Amino acid sequence: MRLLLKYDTNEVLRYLGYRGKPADDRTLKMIDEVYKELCKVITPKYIYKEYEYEKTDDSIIVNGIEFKSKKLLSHLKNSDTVALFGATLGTGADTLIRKYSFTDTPRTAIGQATAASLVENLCDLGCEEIKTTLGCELRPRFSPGYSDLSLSCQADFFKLLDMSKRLGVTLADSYLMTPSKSVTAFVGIIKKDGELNELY
Amino acid sequence: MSFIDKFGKELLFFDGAMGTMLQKNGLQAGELPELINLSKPDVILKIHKEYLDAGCDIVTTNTFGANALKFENTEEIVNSAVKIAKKAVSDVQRECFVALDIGPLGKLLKPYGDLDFDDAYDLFRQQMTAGEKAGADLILIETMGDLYEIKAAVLAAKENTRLPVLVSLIFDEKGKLLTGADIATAVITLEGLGVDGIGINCGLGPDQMLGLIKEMIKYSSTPVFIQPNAGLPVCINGVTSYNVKPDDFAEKQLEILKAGACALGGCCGTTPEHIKAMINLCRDEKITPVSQKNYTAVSSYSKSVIIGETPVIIGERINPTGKKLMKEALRNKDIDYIFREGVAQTDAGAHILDVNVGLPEIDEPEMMKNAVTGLQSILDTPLQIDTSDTVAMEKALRLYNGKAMINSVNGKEESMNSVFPLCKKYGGVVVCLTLDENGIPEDVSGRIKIAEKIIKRAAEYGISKKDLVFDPLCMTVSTNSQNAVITLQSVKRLRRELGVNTVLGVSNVSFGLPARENLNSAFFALALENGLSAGIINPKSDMMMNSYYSFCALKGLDENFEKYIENSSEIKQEAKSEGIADLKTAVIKGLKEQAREQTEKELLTKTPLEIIDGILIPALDVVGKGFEENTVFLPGLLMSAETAGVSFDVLKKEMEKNGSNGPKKGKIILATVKGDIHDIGKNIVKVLLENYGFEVVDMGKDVQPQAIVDKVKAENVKLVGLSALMTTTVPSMEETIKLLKEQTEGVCVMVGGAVLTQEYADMIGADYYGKDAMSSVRYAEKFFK
Repeated sequence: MRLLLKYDTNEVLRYLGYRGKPADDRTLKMIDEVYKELCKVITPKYIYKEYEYEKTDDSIIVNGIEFKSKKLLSHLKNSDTVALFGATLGTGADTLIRKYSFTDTPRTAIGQATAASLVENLCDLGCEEIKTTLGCELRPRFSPGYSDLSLSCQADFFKLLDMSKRLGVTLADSYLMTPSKSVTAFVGIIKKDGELNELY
Repeated sequence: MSFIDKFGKELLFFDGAMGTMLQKNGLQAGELPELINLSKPDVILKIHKEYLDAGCDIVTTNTFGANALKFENTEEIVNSAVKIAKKAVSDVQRECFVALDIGPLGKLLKPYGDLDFDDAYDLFRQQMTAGEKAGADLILIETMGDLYEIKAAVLAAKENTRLPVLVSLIFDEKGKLLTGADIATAVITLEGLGVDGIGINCGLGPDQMLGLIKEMIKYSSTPVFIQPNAGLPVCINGVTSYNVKPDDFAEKQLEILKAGACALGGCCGTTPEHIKAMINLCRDEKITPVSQKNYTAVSSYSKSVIIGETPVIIGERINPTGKKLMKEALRNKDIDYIFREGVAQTDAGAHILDVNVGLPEIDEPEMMKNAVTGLQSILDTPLQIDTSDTVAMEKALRLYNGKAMINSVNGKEESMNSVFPLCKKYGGVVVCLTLDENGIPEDVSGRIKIAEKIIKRAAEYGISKKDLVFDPLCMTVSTNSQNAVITLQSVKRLRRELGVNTVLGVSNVSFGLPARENLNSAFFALALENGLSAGIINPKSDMMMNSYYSFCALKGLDENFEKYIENSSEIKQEAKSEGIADLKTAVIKGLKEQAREQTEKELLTKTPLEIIDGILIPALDVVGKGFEENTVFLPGLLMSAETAGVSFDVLKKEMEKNGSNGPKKGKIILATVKGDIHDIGKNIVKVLLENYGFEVVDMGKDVQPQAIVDKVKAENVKLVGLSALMTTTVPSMEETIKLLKEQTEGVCVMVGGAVLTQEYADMIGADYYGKDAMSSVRYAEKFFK
């Protein structure tokens, strides 16, 4: 799996607080330089696992484990199955940004924003692959810690997806993920047949 | 015969998967496999027996995750698991062995994660001592993706048990560990630790592993073993399965055996049928004897440097000798200064960084530890631990992630007796100085004789010649015009006659003479031509690096002149001029070089204080206002702050000349609270505060509440800034604030971080909530007014 990730300039600027205002050329150039440095050190990877799931009034149950969240429940609307999805840029991004933080503060901030945009792009690529492989449609990603889905469910999520072994992402006691440029998410899967039935 | 008498000498077979077999025997999702040792020992016994019936020589205990992070009764579980395996083995006629299985802890070690190296060590020690006591024959540390965790595990095994230690790694298809190390780096590091076998398991099937095992054998002088999965995992409906059939698995394993592996087994998805098919096919094959590889190499957590092919640059700048600013940084515990020096040298082309923090008035072991672990959190450049204090040396070597370079040992008995045991235990390549009790021999032969003595004594400690790099010592030509010649001849003879690698502190040659770089760079080129393998030099010196790149280009060591062209000084100079700006404009625009020049110019007519009050503060105000009004954004704000910092540095030096430290607006303690291991936001705030003239005491990340309170008292600080990134760590923030209010008086706390809001900040009793980096500067300004 060799992945070429791209950043989205508007997204990077938004993370940096530009609120739609344009950036000067020097900043744009710096973003691009940081992006190139990041490309040298990142090791992007993603994994997913498709599960049947059960619904209750306020939770979903995956492989016997309950994830309590009404928002997640409504988010998965019409989904036939659910994929547990995990992605990471690897430790290289963290090390580079840490290095910047001692030598070049502007690049520290730009590195954070650019890496965040890259991990979003990685998730998009991963979800595209799920679509093609399974021939399905996907609901938008929904991550532990969003809305009423408690961050502490990361522990169960990690177990189900075997994140540390398969992706090299580990969970601290505070549920922080390391490497920090990592994402976990539930993705609702709508099978093509199901969708057709609904349309007609 | 013991295990170690057989391993690597005759073909041995491991068993296959435990987890897969437990599932076949009815293990439920969410059930912990390790507990089955206690609840249904007969199931485990049956699985071991099936593998033994299939013909394997080694059974692996069901203890993969049996550590105290997951279980309170680790010892009981391990004891039971080993006893079951021993029972299974005792029932077969041939000689079989029980491997105590040790898996990863599932947590990342500091500085990347939140687990202390020493805590990881203790967790492993507990498992291993229980396993040895229960009668295991060897320790199998497997499915490991992090070299640092492996180091903790191997040290725990070697210091607390007498069992042989095998380590097996999980690679991705590109041959990288999860922490980024390639196969060569892993082998170099593990051989440094003196493990008895190195293997690959899990993650991949035998198809993908064949290429990786060949690469491993290319570098390894240690027996290599393999335990592939039964192919790549296929996941259907949350159920993972593996599709390589026993016969195909066996065919591939035979190929791997012929490539040079000396023990075969299976991981996820393999069954007694796989193992049986493999053994039937491979049983009568002979293993290829392990050959000794003679390269010299050091490594970091993800990268290795081979010494002896192309010459290597060792950066000399992290060393207080003759460096005023470095001395001051060490006295002030200004570790950031060391980090910046490390990054600058790496960017300038250093392959290895020498780290010397020895000053009589500081706690050298503590500083060495902080410098080494700190540098390793931002750089993958291997380090050279440079100290004559063996306590500091051991502390650094123990916590170093990789196989370090050690500077140095010499021909004195006392030196060899204290350094060689450390080198043997932790691994390392040692710089050997050719001097002994009688001093430095004046002639070449005398130095060669000492080198021979050192090689002999090292061998007695089990340290091979390839892990020694000789420094025949370079004395200044100002005291004896023959000094350079003697050194050059020594380098040549060491290389030719003794076949060892060489290293020199190159710049000593010119001591006491003017225009030293001229002599240094010429001498460096001469030394390289005489066979110098590594030069300890200042990589920030263009002249030295020009010598180096030119030498490599002329000797055909630089393909297509790539490095030479990339580093030619003409090209480097291009990027400078951007038009002339006055100091105020330079700060507003963030032009560092110009700010430096303009500050020096302003100093001709103004005092430092006039420049600060009249130019720098107003410039920073313009930028700060712009940020608040959304016309300047974070990158611009930070560029200006750093530029002002450059100017402050110039002014500070000027003021020090006049004996003053310069005005400080007030002292602030910053910390990321307990449990929070990401501190980038806090670091940004720190840079801003410092460049706006505040003195910042940075306590780092994951800081205990009481430690912050103690620091506040010790430093008599009135303003504390706390950062928390996650909802889960805000309670530590609240606790810290509570303790501060209880135990100190008049201390204000400002808080910030991704999840915080004004309401949240009020709720936990903070005095101020900073919505962004600039607002903390504004609050601090108001606070100290």
